[in-house]
Amino acid sequence: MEISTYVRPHSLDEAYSLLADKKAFLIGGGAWSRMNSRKVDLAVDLSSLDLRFIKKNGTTIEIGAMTTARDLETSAELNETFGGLFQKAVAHIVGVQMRNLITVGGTVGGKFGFSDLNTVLLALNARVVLYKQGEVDFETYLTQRSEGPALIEKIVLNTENVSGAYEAVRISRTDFSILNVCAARTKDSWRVAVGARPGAARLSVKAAETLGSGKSPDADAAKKAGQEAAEELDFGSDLRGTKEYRTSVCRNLVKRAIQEVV
Amino acid sequence: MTIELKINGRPRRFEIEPGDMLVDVLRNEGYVEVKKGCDTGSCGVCTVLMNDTPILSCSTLAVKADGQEIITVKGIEKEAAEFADFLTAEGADQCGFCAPGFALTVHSLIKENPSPNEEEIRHYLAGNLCRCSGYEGQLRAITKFVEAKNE
Repeated sequence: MEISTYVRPHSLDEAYSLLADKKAFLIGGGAWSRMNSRKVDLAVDLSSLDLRFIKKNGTTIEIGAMTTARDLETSAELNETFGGLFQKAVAHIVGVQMRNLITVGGTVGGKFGFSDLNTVLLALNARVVLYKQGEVDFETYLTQRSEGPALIEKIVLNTENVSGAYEAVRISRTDFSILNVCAARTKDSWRVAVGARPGAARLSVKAAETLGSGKSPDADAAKKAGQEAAEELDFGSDLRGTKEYRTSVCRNLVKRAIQEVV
Repeated sequence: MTIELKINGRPRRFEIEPGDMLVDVLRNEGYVEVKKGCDTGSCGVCTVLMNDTPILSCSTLAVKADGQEIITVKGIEKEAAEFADFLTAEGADQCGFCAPGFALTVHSLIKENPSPNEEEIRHYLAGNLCRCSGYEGQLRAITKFVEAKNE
């Protein structure tokens, strides 16, 4: 990445004003800077804004934008609340050195197709808190362009009666997912998210409808939900897998993730 | 632009371009013990510690190190030499190119988890690739090094 000017603002207000300049580019962990050929006039680094935190507030957990993937992996709050879901989802992102660089804000803001984390956040119905724009649900954030500068402050998760499971297939342990799935159950509904299609994560509405409000869907219901997701969602081919392979894997990973939650 | 940082305990000041990567700045300034391998964030040979945390210097903008403390393998020279003895004893060191990254990552592993089991070692070291040895010798070396440290 070629950067002309680099700024590390000391307030969200200052960062927001800088980002209002359309040529400004937000830097999270900066982990993909080497492989990005973009020419950036103004890089805005959020390192000095105290946005690295994981806080439990009653029935929610807030995760700051500069929290690293390694922070998620080792967080006692997240692992106690979600039973190792986050640990499992980020544990194979390259190595511990890379997970110390990658930030939640950079991953969410990038809307990367290969993301493991975004699939989990979509299934958990996370809310993205944007400075001066308020909260937006994760699905809306992933699928729509935001008006004005999208300065992510934090991610908010409901913790009441939520459980989830994550499944992925990779060529090798530290490679990107060929496909990843997160199934999450709340008190009265299910959400099934599929990522690395290779496009960004999407919800399967039909899989959720099939599961209804069932607390413990049986093997047939889980299998049917997997088939529904594979039929409903779009898949593509890239160097890691073909569309047909991803479609087939989707059936099984969705079924497996649902059964794991149960 | 100017950055000021500490490297192996010594204050340094460098003129850099904002898009420069840390590995390039360190090597250009003579810290050639920081190796450059894949240059895409995959192999771990460029590992350094930033504020005691292992990071990939090929994937870190040098400007991010401004005001921070960097440790290269020379900053843990004594421990790295002890670790190297275990690597050679287990036949796990051939070309040696990956060794600085391994030594720094093992240093961090032991600091976080003084008595790691085999799975924990494999998981923590998953980002350090070696194209000579096949990892079994390194696993034995790390296990014995940890045991010796704990004696």
